[in-house]
Amino acid sequence: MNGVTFHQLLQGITHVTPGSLVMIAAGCVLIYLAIAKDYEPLLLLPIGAGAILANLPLSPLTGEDGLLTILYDAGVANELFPLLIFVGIGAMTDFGPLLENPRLVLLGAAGQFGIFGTLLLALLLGFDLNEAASIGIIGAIDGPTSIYVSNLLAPHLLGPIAVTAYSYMSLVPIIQPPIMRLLTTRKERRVRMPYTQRTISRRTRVLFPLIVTLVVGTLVPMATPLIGMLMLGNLMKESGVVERLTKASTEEIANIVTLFLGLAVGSTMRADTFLRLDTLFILMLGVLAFGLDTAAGLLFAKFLNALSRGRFNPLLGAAGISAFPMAARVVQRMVQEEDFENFLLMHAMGANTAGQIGSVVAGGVLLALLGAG
Amino acid sequence: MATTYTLEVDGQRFTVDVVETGPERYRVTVNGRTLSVRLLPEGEVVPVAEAAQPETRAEAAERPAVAGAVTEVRAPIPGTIVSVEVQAGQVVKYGDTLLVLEAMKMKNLIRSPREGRIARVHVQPGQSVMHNDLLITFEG
Repeated sequence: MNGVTFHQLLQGITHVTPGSLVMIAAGCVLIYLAIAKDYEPLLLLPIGAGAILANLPLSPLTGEDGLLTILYDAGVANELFPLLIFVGIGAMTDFGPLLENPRLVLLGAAGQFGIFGTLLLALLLGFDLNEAASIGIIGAIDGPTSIYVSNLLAPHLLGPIAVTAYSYMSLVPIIQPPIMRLLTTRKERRVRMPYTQRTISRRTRVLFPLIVTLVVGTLVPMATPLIGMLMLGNLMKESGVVERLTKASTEEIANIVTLFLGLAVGSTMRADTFLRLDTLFILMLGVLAFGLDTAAGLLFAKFLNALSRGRFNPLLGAAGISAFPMAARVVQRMVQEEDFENFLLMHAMGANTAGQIGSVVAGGVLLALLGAG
Repeated sequence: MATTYTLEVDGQRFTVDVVETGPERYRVTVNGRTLSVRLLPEGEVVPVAEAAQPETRAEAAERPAVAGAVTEVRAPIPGTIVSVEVQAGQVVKYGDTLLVLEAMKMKNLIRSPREGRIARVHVQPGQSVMHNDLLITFEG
């Protein structure tokens, strides 16, 4: 055996770099969070695995024809995967609580303030406008929207942004409650709101996704892909005539795409692009974006409370974000802590679905403002 | 069932929730503060008990002075009954879990609004309920 073949035999070990070891460790942390802490396991486990596989020395998976490269090119670089996920989300979402109480749509708009607040802070920290907007979109608290927008505006930040968005989404029950307690009084948290039972006709349920698509698509063309796919899924669900397609969208397609998307996003966690000060800033700005969204929603809901002379529970404002259904559950849990006979779950779900629409529209508005596309 | 009134006193508005808890006894919540109130024959309203500290947990302050007129528990929101934790004849305390109602994939505890003996459980696990459906009746 001569020196050259010996060297080739050990090339895996000789190509280990400190950076790649850090990234493999980061991948292991994500897998740990998924398995031990049950944090968004469907996403964090494949993302963690993707990160490990992409950072192993000389990994053929990230070569020209490597699986991770193929997945990235096939569905992340061209936005296909997040959009397919949106079909499934639409097919799983019940907009009934929102239709029963349409004024909740205002909370879905207020909950997007964090996007713009974070954008401004990112600019102050020296990110350029496209990068700042991509970081701000973490404030949409919506994984697919974050991937969609950041890939168009600042693809080099996609890895840190997607990882931040998905990891923090599972931290909603930890990040939101202190802010909710801080910004509301006990009296406000105890406001009871009766469940307004209004029967929503099938015609309304079917027309809703069509009308939202037409209105939002016309007003904010850049939001058409996201809102169009979300509402396509919802139309299929509510029409009740394409159960096979609905089932495929919420199960087979969503599952397959989630796996592919997770691996591809994980593969963007490369030491050279990830181990930078920027990533640390993005992690910090991300938590700030969540907090700002929550605060803005709460303050707006307090305003509605004042308008209604104390008959609107301000905690509902915290549900006007996209993290569905975590935010609504957080609200209901806190309401129950204060008064176990108070059930605001349906109102909270309405605000939460409004937040989903709001974040998609906000993403479209950002893209339009920055002239992307 | 609670009845809500809005009173205006000297230009200040108060939201008042009144729940009948027994013969001539009411649980009155004024802007978040809960009082147990007994109606005297003269028609004069006298607080029987008041929450010592307004910030203590609600249950202590709200516990009715006597087991009384709340005889039913109805579904606060539509959903599916996951489990029933009590049975007819069982004595429960204020705040005890009566059943678990799953709505929008979230499990909600339905807890007892009073102490007393369960007369009848009207639902069983797996059953779907609509808003305001009768779940449980109390004796007396």
